[in-house]
Amino acid sequence: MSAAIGEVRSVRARQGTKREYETVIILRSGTNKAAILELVQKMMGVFKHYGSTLIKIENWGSRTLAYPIKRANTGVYLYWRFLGGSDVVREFERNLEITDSVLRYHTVKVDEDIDPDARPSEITEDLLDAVSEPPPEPVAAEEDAPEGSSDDEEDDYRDDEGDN
Amino acid sequence: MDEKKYSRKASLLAVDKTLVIDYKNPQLLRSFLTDRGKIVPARISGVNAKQQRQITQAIKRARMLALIPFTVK
Repeated sequence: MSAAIGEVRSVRARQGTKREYETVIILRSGTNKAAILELVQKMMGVFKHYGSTLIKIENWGSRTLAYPIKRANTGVYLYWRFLGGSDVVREFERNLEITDSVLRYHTVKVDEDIDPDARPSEITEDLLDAVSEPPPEPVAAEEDAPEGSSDDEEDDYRDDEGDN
Repeated sequence: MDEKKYSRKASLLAVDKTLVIDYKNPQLLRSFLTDRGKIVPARISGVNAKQQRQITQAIKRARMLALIPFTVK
């Protein structure tokens, strides 16, 4: 089957629709703004070539990893949301794989049979530039909060654990 | 008998219907983990089967992204 670039190659997919994907990327915490911008620009080229649209991109800032990845203890999280066909994810992830600053990525299919015209992109030039900057404070606060709060609640079943 | 040892609690999700299970919300997912980082069984947490499936999926995704740990020593 020779589907055109950017099409969803699935028998059950409605024609002319795209899938919605989201990807979270963890970058090495030392990555400078220029490198992030370069990565974003490169990926915009990939999206353009595959006829897909980036609808959202966010920088979650630097977070402490729950466990070390490639010996790094902290990482910068980038969140991408895009519409595309079957092939864009493979190319996107191939590019991530050859980017040294990327510690890890994870792509999830959010929805399918999306009409691309019904989902305009929120992306502007300013937004793309802003991606290299971490967001203001709230992210840091969010990190610390859950630690203590969840602990007290779950005492009841702990006795259970040793037996198995 | 044995079941009686553990008290089933009203799940967070039943109390607050606006909560959405999402792998990007580690704060919520942590309430479905033991202090060792294991996934809490539905019979303990009181969520229904569908929610438990969603929680499990979300936790496994969040672990991949180092938002929550695989294990806590």
